[in-house]
Amino acid sequence: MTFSEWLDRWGHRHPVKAPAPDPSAFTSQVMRRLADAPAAEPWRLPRLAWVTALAAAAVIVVLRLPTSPGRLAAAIARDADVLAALGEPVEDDLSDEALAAFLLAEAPADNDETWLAETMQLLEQLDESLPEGDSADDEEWLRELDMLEQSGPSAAS
Amino acid sequence: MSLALTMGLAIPRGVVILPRIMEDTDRQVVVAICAGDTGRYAELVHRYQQPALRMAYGLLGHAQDAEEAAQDAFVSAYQALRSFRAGAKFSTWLFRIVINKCRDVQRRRMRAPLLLAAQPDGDEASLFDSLEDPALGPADQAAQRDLAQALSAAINALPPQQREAVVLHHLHGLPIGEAADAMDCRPGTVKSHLFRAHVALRARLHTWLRPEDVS
Repeated sequence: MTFSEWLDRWGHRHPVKAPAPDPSAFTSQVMRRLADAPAAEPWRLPRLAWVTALAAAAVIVVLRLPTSPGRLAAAIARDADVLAALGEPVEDDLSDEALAAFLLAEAPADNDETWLAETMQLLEQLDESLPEGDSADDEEWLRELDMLEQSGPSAAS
Repeated sequence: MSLALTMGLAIPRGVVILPRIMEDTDRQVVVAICAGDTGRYAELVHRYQQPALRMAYGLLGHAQDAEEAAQDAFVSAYQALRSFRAGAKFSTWLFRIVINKCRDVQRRRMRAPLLLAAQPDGDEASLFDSLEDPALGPADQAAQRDLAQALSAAINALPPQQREAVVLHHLHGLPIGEAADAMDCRPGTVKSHLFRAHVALRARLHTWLRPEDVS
């Protein structure tokens, strides 16, 4: 038998003494001391769970936000500067109106009505003729707009 | 398999827990307490006071200090109950608090050794219970008592962490992993403490250990 096994055997045969002879008295003393202590509060959702939920919500909100026109304009200006530094300036300098039309085409519409209004504004800025006539013509024009939308903003110009 | 094992409880040696079929698990009781049923903490105190008291006595060797440390541990455990992790064992968590309370007592003893009784005396000379063995003759029983006192003195003389490792692993029967959790250290550290403690204990007990019993 090793010394370790001998100690195990000793501990099994001869348990360490327990000093308190009366278990009920010990429990009562502990509970009396707790009566003066502040009560345990009901469980709250752990802080980590709250932080994780808030971070996830923030990520979702950021991902669903449309591209900021200000950021897009800044990106265009930055690209133009880079091309100019490389000796290849942008020949077709964007006027304010053209830039506004471009931003309008890039920005997603919130709903169909807004989309229609913005598309008409876009066509007007790009000197495209607006349809006139009866409802059949309107339907045909709307189909053309759908096709135009599907083919992307570049097709409009 | 016993009910205690089914519930995943660590039952230190020498502690008899009678099975109660309808007894809630530690986790269920903790959930009830945290939900506002604070009176149910008495169940946990009743369930674990014997292991906590024996552990504190094994670590301190002084009955009054052990009782105070165990009481302090139960009070602190209640106040920190919300920090108890759901996946942990309540017994291991409580034992860690008991050990910390005993360390506090030992630190106080070191600061004021003349004011606090550091060494056991009288009936407290032996750490162990149940020494009477009817199968032994009077001479062997006397030798057994002497060995118990010598082993108690040898354990009392160990450095605190070696003593904790011996008490938790050998005297309370906790596996190395649980002893490490309770001591808040790695299992390898516990093994290292045990190795050093074995060397020290063997040196102090060499006159008591027969070569045919211990290799």
